[in-house]
Amino acid sequence: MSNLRLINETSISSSVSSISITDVFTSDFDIYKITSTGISTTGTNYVDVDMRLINSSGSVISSTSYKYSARVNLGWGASGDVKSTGNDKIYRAFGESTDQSPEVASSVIWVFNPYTSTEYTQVLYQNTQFYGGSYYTSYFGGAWLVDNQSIAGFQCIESNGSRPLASGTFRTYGLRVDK
Amino acid sequence: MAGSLVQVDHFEISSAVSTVTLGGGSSGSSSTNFAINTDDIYMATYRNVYMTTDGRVPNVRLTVSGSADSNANYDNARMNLEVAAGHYDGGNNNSTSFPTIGRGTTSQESSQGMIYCYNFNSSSEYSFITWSEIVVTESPEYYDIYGGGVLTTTQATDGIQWVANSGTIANGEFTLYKVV
Repeated sequence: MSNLRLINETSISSSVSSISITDVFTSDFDIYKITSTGISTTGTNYVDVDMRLINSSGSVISSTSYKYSARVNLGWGASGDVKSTGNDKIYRAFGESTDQSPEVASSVIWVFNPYTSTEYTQVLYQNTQFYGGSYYTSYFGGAWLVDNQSIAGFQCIESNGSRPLASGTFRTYGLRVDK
Repeated sequence: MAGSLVQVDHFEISSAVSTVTLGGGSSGSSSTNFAINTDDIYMATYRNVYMTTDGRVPNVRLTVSGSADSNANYDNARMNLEVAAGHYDGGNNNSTSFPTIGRGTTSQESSQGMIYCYNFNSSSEYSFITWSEIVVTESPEYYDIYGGGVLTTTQATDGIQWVANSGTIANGEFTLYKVV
């Protein structure tokens, strides 16, 4: 049996501005892998797809306790740093941008130490996407929740507020350690 | 099932050590006595790695028949990203280890990451690794690092070792998986 254990699979079934995956991080694992595939939004105006964490009380953390640093590579030959020392979300963790299908975004995200309240929750993420009819980008980075909270889940949220998520599947795996 | 991860070695520091070795047979840090001996890709994970002294660095070497290769044949290329500064493109030829950066002495000043291991079992090809790491230094500064490296010696390697550049590694949990 693989040490990578599927914990949860959730798909977007109707248009929503955000989707919360709760009660997936527990004391059973310290390292998790999240995959998201086929994320699209409604309409042709592209939008960033961000991540927030959800504590073990079920509250979405929207304080400015997130730090991140990432690199974006753009299909038209440019690249750049994307960083923040205090933001209310992990900017573009699920997608640098996306719009309506087939111009979707997909990502792989590793989450370290979410459930323990004595260690920061730390995240490594990579994503790939096509949007706006001609724009391809890839993205990789890292993020921290600099706040000693027990984290039990995560939220995927579109940044505009009026371009709802139309599709996407999120799979959460725990990486089993046999001690 | 393709893409599965099967644990083959694990070590958790209970008291400070100067090195941690996954694989390497009987020279490994655990009592598993596992040595990389197939052509599969292996993936090492580590978490909550910090030092006994601020700023010390747990660099990485590969093992040959359980002994760390400390010859100056390690090449690497990497990008360090930091939340308050621009990125840094780094690279070295002919180093005595693969580099990371210093960190602190607590969980809040630690590193987490993963290393993929390629061609270790081949005695006719070089051994390669790629790594993704997230680190908080003693300052604290917040880094994520993406890189890769090669040990330019045609020899089989059988494990991976974290070695303190000075002093000891105070804490950390290290696990090696075979990708099957």
